[in-house]
Amino acid sequence: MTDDAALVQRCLGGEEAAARELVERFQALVFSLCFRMLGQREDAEDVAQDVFLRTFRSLKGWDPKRSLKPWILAIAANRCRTALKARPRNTVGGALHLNEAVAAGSADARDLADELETAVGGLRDDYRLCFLLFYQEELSCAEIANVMTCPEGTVKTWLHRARRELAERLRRRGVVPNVEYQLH
Amino acid sequence: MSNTNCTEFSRLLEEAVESRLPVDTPALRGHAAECTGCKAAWLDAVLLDGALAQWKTKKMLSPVDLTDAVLFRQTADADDRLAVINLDAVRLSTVRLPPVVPLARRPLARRPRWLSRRTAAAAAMVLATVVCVPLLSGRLVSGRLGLRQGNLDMASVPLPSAPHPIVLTNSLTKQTPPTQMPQSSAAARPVRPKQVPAKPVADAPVETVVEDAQSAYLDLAREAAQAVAGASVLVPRPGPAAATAPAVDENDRWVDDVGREFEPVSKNLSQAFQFLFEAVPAEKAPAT
Repeated sequence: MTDDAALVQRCLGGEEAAARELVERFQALVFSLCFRMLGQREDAEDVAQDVFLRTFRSLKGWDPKRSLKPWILAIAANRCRTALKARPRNTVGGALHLNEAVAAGSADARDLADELETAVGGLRDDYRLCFLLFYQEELSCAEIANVMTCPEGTVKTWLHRARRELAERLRRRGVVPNVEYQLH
Repeated sequence: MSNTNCTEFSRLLEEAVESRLPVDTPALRGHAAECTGCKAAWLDAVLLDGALAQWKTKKMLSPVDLTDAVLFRQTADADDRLAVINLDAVRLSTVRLPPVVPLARRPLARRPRWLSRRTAAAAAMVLATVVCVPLLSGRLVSGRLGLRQGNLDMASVPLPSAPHPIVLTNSLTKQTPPTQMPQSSAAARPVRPKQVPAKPVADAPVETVVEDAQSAYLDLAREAAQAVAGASVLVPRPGPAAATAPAVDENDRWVDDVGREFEPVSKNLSQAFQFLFEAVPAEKAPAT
């Protein structure tokens, strides 16, 4: 029995310590995904709590042959998409959170990471979710396809477009790679 | 001079991205230095690689601890569910029957959409036919009352005016069913097959066939209504003599007297059937 399966068994047995352990193990992953998808900390906390509540309710349906992480991330992705749909259309959540996150740093912290964070917030929801699942949660394309319930080819296309859009935004912001001179 | 062409470059770049490997490899760099089109893609990939490396290592978010909140909400959620279950149990234990509303005050049940007025009338006719034909043939009377056929002459029972039994004719095949309605010995009447104008099925459109079937059933129902409207039903006379069961030794005398005890009650059902037929348009209704 895997570690995940044992933990789930303990949770299903009603053991509070197991439930606590499960939350502690996955809360950083879930919260960061929710935060980067929703752009507001309060919303992200609410949705992350919902994710874990739904996880506990659905634990009986989890297949022990599969990894627990993509399964929980699938719940998180669905909750994020539902929360985004429930928002008014004129809310620019992505750009908002990035400014907050960047402002939390030092005054001259507008480095490459901050620029990328801002650029990620401007991506389309599907592209952003795909990009975050791939680079932040480090899921494979096949796992992302399962999470987002779409073909693997679509995931690759979205990932490619997300990377292209991000690079274009970074270039527009004046960020250039420092390797160009080596080509000439 | 690089040996990598543009197709190979694209494949290698895609593999590196999907495998999260660095894109600044000699093969890719060599081709990018020679090919202007591929150079832009490679520079974008290198730019993103650098940004991603910083993005992953930099803590953009302050840590969050959701454990207590989640466990609290989970406990509250479980309590709510338990409360709902208990509330359901209380509701079930204290269930009260609704107050009896007099029939006249009850709201009329809404007729289902699929049951049109015409269909309801036709169904009522067919139902009346099914119920009344055995009654008129004497089977129901003799069976329910346990009367002996010999002691009570069914010929003395006033029979409906319809002088013939109903014979179903298949309008589609123009064939009369081989079996006719069962007839009592006294109520045997000449058979007059129901003539239903029928069209050849192969040439007739579906709407026409449906209309034929509808008109055939309506004619059947009208005929049954005429028969039922002229029927008389024998019921025991009210009073203690009729209600008391006879003694065993007095059985024969009771059977002899049963003719006198019975009272013919004529029920004029024509008004009821007239009401139902008024609901059906006289002309052919369009097929539905």
